[in-house]
Amino acid sequence: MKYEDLELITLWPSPTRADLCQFIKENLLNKHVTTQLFFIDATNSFPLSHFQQLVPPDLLENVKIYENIRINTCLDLEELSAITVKILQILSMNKINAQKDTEDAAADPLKIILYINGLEVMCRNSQFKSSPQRSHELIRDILLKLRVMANNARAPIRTVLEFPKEQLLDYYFMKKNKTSALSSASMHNKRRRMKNGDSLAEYIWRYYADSII
Amino acid sequence: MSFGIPLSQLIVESPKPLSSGITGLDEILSLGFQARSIYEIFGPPGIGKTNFGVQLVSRSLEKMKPLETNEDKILWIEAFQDMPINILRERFPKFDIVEDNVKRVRIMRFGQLLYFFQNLFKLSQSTKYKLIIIDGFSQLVCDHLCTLSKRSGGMIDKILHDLKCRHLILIFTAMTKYTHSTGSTIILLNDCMNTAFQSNEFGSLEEDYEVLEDGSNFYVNSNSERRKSNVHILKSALVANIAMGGKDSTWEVFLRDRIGLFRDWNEQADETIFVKSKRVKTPSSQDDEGCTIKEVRINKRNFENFRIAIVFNLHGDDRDKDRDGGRSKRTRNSEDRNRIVKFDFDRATGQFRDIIDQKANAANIGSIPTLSASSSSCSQLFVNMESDDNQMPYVEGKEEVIYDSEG
Repeated sequence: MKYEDLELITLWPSPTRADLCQFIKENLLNKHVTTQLFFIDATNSFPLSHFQQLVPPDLLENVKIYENIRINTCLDLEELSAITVKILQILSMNKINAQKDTEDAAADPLKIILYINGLEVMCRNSQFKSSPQRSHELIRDILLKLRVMANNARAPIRTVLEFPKEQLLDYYFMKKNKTSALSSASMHNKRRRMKNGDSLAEYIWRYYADSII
Repeated sequence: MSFGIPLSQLIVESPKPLSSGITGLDEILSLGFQARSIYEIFGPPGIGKTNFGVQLVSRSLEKMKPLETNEDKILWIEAFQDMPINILRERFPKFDIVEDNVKRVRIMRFGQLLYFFQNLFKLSQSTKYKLIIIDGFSQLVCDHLCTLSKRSGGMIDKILHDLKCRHLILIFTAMTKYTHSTGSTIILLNDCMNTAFQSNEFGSLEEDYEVLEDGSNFYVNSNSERRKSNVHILKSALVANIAMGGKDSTWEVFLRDRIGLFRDWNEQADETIFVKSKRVKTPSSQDDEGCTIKEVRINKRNFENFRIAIVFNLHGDDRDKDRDGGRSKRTRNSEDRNRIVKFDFDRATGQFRDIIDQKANAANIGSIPTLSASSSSCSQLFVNMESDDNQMPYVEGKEEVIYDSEG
């Protein structure tokens, strides 16, 4: 999955470490375009050892890749909101610089991939700290900001949200075209929805995300 | 303008993983217990969880240079069981290094632990613990849940699972904040519980299972026709407790790995001969000392020493697939994806170690008096008798009693 193929906001249910490393490598290896990956995480989930195996850090051509991956720990939505604002500021600065300098404007602008893992944990922590309403406001605000900015061609940003596969069973099986599995999974999900409501992943898929990997 | 830690910087600053001393386990954990991570180790009573924790402390201390002042300390949080400090005293004759670098604290309430970690995070700039071991974390959680249930008079039992998940997220968040700010490793030593609940199907719990009325709080299959599928399995006491449910993945994301320690019932060891002798008086004995009875036991399995560690695949990763660069077929069976390591527990030293080659051990077996040699070396047998008794493992196999020529 290349940057150009990504939609504004994409969901990725439980990627394997190998798939994730391959995705990062594919997108950051291009020498002509600078792509930065912001890996925002509520847990320590970056597959470091796998990535080191796939992209050896001691090779000269890989040094840039390691510089362009930035790891952030974020445990609640207030922190995520602050990080989002900073990323959008970076994009705005690049846009202004590109407009000032014609040469730079001709070149490809900086591309940003925002990879967020553990959004549900952040959401729950925000609910503890403030209230469910506040956490809902924050998540809406963050995702809308990201969509608005991603729609601007001069400020390219794509967001990938990782969720556990169990939270997106309906859509996962739909994607995989497993009709028999779909019917049983749908029944369980219907029962669960009646009891607990939609999961966060389902909510985001329904209202904010464009595609699912 | 940029923010976040570049990956290159993270690699340079990350301390080396802490080796467990078991080669196979280290390989699965990518060279050992990683910094900035939380691990759960669980197992039945007496399996050696606390010993495993002490072994990690020992290995961490061995890395330290005795004369230097180490900024990174080790913290042992004990819940209901004292830290076996004597083991460390034996392993480190110069006990100063232990006293200087290993701190102990007793916490007996879940709330206290939460408060403790929140404060520890505030003090993380001045005091850093590179290794934190919490012995009996699951007991604190279970105690907390039981208290909540009792206080409400059973009114909140239906939402107890949700409460457990929320409270575990809260405490794991505090722990994660600390590990990320200091680069430390947290090891949770937990009990395990027997449960029949193994379905991941949401909402099916109340329909398909019922709670036994013997007070054990285990879910059993309520449909008698499906008894065959009613299999009890051992799970971590964080999962299998009075607040079981299908949302455990919400807090399991914080765990880097979950390791279950069990006895290895399947291992076939080389036959080891144990000889035990005692003197008894028989009517036919001609002297006062009586005759010597030698019992020769051929032992097929030594359950006491064999251990396995199951490294559970919590995050749905296919490690084999990862290792092969994605070429191999992905397995869906969770049992296939879990990794199993075999190793030994040395009861004499209380340490876990790799399995020593049985052929190499043959030399040691040779030193145990055999039947032919023992008939003329009674004194040696008497000397060994007591120690043999102590080391006698569970015996299964041939057993014969031989009266020697003295009788």
